[in-house]
Amino acid sequence: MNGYAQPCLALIGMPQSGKSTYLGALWALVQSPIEEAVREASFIGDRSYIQSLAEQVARGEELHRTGVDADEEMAVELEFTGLGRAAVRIPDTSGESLRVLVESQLWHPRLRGACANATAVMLFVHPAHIRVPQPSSLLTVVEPSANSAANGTAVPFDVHDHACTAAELIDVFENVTELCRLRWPIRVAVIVSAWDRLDETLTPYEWLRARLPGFVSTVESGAQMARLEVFGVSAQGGSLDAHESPLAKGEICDRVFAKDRSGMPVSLVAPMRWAVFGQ
Amino acid sequence: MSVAHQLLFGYDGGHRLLAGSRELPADTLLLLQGATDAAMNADSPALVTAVALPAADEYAFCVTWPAPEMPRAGAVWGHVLLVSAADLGDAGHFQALLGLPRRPLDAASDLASYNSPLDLGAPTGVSLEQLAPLASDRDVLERIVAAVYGSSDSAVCVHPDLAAGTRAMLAVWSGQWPKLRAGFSFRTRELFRASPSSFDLTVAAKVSGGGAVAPAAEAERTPRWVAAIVEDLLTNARTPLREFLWTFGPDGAPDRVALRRLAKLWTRVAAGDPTRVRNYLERRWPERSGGDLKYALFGAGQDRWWALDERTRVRTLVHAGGDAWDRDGLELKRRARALGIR
Repeated sequence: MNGYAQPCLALIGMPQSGKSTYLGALWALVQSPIEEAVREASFIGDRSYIQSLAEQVARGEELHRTGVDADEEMAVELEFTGLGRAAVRIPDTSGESLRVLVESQLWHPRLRGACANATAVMLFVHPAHIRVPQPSSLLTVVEPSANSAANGTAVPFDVHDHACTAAELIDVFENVTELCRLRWPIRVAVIVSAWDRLDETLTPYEWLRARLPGFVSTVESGAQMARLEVFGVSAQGGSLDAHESPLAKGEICDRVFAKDRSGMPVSLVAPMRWAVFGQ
Repeated sequence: MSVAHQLLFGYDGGHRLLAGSRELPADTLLLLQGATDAAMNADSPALVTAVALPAADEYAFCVTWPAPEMPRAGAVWGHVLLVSAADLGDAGHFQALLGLPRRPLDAASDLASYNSPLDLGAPTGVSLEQLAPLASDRDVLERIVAAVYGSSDSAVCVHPDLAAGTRAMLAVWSGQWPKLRAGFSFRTRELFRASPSSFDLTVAAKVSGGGAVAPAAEAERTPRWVAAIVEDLLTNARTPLREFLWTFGPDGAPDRVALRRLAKLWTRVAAGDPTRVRNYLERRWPERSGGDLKYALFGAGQDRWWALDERTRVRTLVHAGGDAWDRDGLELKRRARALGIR
């Protein structure tokens, strides 16, 4: 396929799920002469924001969180090898705005705008921040007040503190697909970030099925609404907290990596390419 | 007792409400969550955000500080103070409000102290003089005044010294009459992306994305009305201009352009030029609008705003055209007859 696409991608995920880091690493790759999967097709538009992200990722720095009301976006024209050009627009939404959607059932205007106009969704999940369902008996144990614990008083369920990740993501999926109803089926790429921290024996798809089975089942059973793809990405090439800095692994092209649903190595560009072209 | 309710936002798995003295609807919380959040470096000065709350006669005054002690880069503290529009118009309460924002202690050991409302009548140790603009802030003050009152669009002023920008911004806000003040939204930001904004005024250290940002005013071209307002704000006292604005401003629509119109009129009044005052009134307050204003300037025995003799007043109006004047209300015939003016 060779053509010209004008996709609008919604990068969404809870706080610290790796959205901005992915954007920064992706832009560093786009500018790298070594990366062959994608190149910048035109120099129109404001690049200051993504350039700043890319420089921070290249230096191995922890990226500042995206503000709730931030209105930054990546708007560039890219040439994907073998597939064609695309004028890609990606508003960088804050994780907090997605949390508000889940916890208060309230759309932040910027998140709503990003999702309403989206031709595909890239949903970020950070393995270190997965919360599994907790039985009510456990909620009693974690009661902070000593008196209440002694009395066995149950802690009231609080969405922010107790909702499991799968439930949150199902809620996100239902809200987003409802907003995109006129464009069904939309592409939903789940990006499991910090893949370098995970057990190598599982593929990204197997990991998602193992850790968030309810979410996977929901998306797969709604095939008329969405097409699912799964990727594992390491947009820093390692943990910034680790004894050995990811910078020791070399330039950004040498250290970042991604895997497709079956665990095959792919370019970090692959999730975006799939979101744009479906292949 | 007049109180300011307070909310504290900070980082806990995301920027969120950590403590507060009252419950708020989810949409208001979302607005304040965004208002208290901003991109900051560890050495950034405190940022100010102020906004009227929709569907409530209340106003939120917020200050945001960097929180480098938190585990996430870019985390911030945001302290919100909620006051009624009536308290915003009270000089003492307004001054108290400006002194109330407080950053939590580093270990956040004082979060519980944010769960109680604050007394606006209690002394805060901060006076308006401490927050007043300095003589060296004149340039940024002129640019802000020209941008804010020059049009009803969202104004953006880029100034590298955010502390000076904040002083100037607070001075502009404090110079507004209560109703205008209660609807004025403003903020300081390290970086502003040139895009449509819902704030009346944004003062930013840097701007990204190009776009339309008002250029700096050239000193020699500073309009007289801007210079007059700036002098008033630098004086930080009830000047005749401030009295004039606060007397007649509340009668009109609470919009910024109304303040510019009144300030322009004042420059003509202060110059003692009755013909130009009359012409400007006819142009900007046509037909019978601005009756009190016209009477205060041209009515019999009205000498509060200028020392214009009765004969000049009457002669000026006798030659007035159009239907901008309530000749009966101004008793023009009687006054002209008494002075032998035909």
